[in-house]
Amino acid sequence: MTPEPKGIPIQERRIGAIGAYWGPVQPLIEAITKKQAAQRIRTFCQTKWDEITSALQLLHQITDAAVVVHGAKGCSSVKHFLNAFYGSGGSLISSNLNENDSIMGSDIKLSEAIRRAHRYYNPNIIFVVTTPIVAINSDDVQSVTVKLSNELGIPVVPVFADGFKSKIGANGYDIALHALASYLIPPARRTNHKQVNIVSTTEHLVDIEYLFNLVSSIGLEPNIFPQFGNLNNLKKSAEALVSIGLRSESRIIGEYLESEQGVHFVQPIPPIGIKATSSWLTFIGDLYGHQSEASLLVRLKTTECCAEIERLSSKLSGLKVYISGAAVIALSLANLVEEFGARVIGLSLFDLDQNTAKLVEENYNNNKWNFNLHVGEGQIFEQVNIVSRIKPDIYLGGLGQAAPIARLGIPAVCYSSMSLYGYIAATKLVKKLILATQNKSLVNRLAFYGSPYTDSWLQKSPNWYIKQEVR
Amino acid sequence: MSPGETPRSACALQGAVATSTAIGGVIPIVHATAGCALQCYLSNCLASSTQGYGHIGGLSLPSTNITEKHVIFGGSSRLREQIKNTVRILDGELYFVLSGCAPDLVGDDSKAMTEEIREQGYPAVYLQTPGFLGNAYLGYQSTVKTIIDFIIDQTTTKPSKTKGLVNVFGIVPGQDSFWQGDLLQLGKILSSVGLTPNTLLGAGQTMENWKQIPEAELNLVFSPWGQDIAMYLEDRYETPYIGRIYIPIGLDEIEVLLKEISQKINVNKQLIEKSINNASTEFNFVLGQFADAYFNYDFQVDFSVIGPTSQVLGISHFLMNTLGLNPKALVITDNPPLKDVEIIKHFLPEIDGKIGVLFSDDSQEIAIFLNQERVTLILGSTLEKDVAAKSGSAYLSISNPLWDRIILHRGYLGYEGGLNLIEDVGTALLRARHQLDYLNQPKFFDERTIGLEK
Repeated sequence: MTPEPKGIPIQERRIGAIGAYWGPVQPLIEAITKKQAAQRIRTFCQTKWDEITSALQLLHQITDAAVVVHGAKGCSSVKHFLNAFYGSGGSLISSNLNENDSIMGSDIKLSEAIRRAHRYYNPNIIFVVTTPIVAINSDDVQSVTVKLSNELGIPVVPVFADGFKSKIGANGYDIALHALASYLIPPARRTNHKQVNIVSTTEHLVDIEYLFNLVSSIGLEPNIFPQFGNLNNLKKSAEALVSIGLRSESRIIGEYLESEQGVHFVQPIPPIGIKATSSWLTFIGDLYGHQSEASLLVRLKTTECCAEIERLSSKLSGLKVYISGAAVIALSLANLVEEFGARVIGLSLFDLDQNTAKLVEENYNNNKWNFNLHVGEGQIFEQVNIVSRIKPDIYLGGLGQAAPIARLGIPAVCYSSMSLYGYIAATKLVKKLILATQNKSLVNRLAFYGSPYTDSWLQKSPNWYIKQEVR
Repeated sequence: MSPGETPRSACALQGAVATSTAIGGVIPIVHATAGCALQCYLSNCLASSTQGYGHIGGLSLPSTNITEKHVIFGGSSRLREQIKNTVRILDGELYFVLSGCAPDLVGDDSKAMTEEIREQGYPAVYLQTPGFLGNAYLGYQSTVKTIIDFIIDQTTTKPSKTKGLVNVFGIVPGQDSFWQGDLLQLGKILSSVGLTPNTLLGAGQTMENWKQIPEAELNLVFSPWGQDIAMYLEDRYETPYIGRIYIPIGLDEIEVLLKEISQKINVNKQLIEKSINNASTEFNFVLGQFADAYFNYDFQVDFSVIGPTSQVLGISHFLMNTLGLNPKALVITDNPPLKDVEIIKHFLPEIDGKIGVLFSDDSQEIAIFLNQERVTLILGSTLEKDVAAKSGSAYLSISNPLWDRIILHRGYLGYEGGLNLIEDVGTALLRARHQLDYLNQPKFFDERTIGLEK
């Protein structure tokens, strides 16, 4: 089968990613751009996404794939969440390692799990996601995957997630996408001049369906992968003229296609908000010479929601908003709320790297922001500290972040379950924000809980537990 | 244990976190890779009855988030740093240090790190909970045992017994979908006969309740997962116990339980009688109301229950012995200790004809089993929803993982719990019937309805 591909260096080394910071933005951006950003670490942490959970989140939506989580039972608990939240837990099996396996090795169980996955789901691809037990014991996963791949006649792809390689949770996306690209994308046989690759990684299905329709209606043929796509979509990907990246992590697969298969990769600002959606569509239209179709559609759609925008802006105008999320998403959301007249007064970004740092700089300059930037995934304690100081009118955050902030008595909205892309999504989100500020009855009552943190912590500087690593 | 599809009872760490966060004042400190505590949130709070968390939990769980450096050079110093700072950031009555797979495999001395902070005067205790040791039920059991040992360690005097105080064990947060409601129901019942319930977990329960454990006159257990704890307390404090392996649902089971309690400790017999009488008036009245729907819609069907031992046996006994339903296929998913399997078999409901029983937590095995049995009503986890839909069975989600209902303080235990279960089962059967009616409607009827709406 395919020769063994090389692993991908962790984000810290590859793109100078950092995951802990609070302070003025300029010195940080300069340091990251010069590749001199200090790897600050926290001396107190709360939980966050890791490589295993990220990789599984991404892989579970490949429609004809099965995933074997090679580890103890608990490592695959995330499936129930994926089921609950995305409506599809995918075809997932745990190799269910116990103490004996952690001592005696786990190759037999892995083979059994792969065969069982094949029997249960009849997939076209099987991914094997590794966890700390196998990583620490240096079990030979690759020899099993090669053997089973030959036996079953389908690609069995190891994804060395391990769970502790990087401090950046999103590194798991990179590992999964890199494995996916290098194992599964064959050279193109032809070029389809209308095909546009849309690299979907962690979006909701409704969002991708929306983009699919948008792109189709300007006369192009969207090829969606790896999420919501199958092995065929991956194989076809090399035939496109251009790959469009949506979220940061799509870069891995986009750049692979560009360097190995000559498919041009672009990553415009994602279509979150009215202006951004219009420019996203115009950008793609320009790329493929479908300018007139694109501009017609943009005109049509913006005219449709013109009155709505004006009505909503009058209500959102002047509200102070705090936003937390992955860099690209959070910045896009920040632009969205500013577009509707609100004012962003604080940002928590999960992580920052050479690519996203430029985006942050542009946004700070364009929007004339001068607040301190917070970098940290999860780390609710730091956000509680910051938010208690700057007292936003509303907090907009990701999964699991809204409730602890609402318990401080601050209206909060979680965007994770909402659709984000396109015109309708933008107005819907703004309506949610307005509603949350208008009716605070639950939020006021939740103040019963308050903050679980000590006063001494809340009085300290938010970066008190972020230290410069001694190395 | 062989590989399996979507293991439903999580891992020891997840059980320990779910249990400890259900005790007011306990702050878990997870020593593991970042995703371990995250998966606790995703599975315990989001995919387990969508139940969220109390004062601490979710994304706020303190976790050392160890990386490659700590795996190579050891992570003990990282844990020391984390513990030291946790006591500064979060006020707690007990700091509960839990280690996951990675630090245990590389041999971090988490115990020594915990002892260090204890020497500094902070209440702290350590428990080894790597996922490869076992499931969440095991995590529950070890957590309870560890905290009891911590309390024993702290007390210098021999505890005196408090009259009427009763501890409750075996109902597992996060895994038993109705844990909080069941404990609240049980609390009410015990209070009604003059006893003082010490339910230990959930709303209003703190370390103060745990400190009273040795003072109890009696321990009650309601699953295979609290028996060892009760035996341990019997050895240590001569506290007698009643070791049930399933939850008592409905009038009969509670009556038996209360009588059994009165044989072990001194309870006011008149209060018991009064409590049962009061409850039976209400219970029987409601049951009478239910009878109309029961017969009109033909609710006397065969059923299947999929879940942990305590729920499967509890629910099937109630549905059979109170509602006259017919158990056909039971699936026990909590992988109970071998010694308990024989006891479980002994307690299986007895009817004419064979009841199929499967011990498994593999969804595919369960699906195949259910497809063979073809029952009218399936009570299981949300994972069984599709199986039920495909076979046209009525479906009610009652066991973990459960994400199509929000269950916070609803319980199935006791009188009120039995009535809750009646309502839920009736609703499930009714909905399935309406669904079927809808599918069987002749086409012109659909068109006419649409026409009317216009």
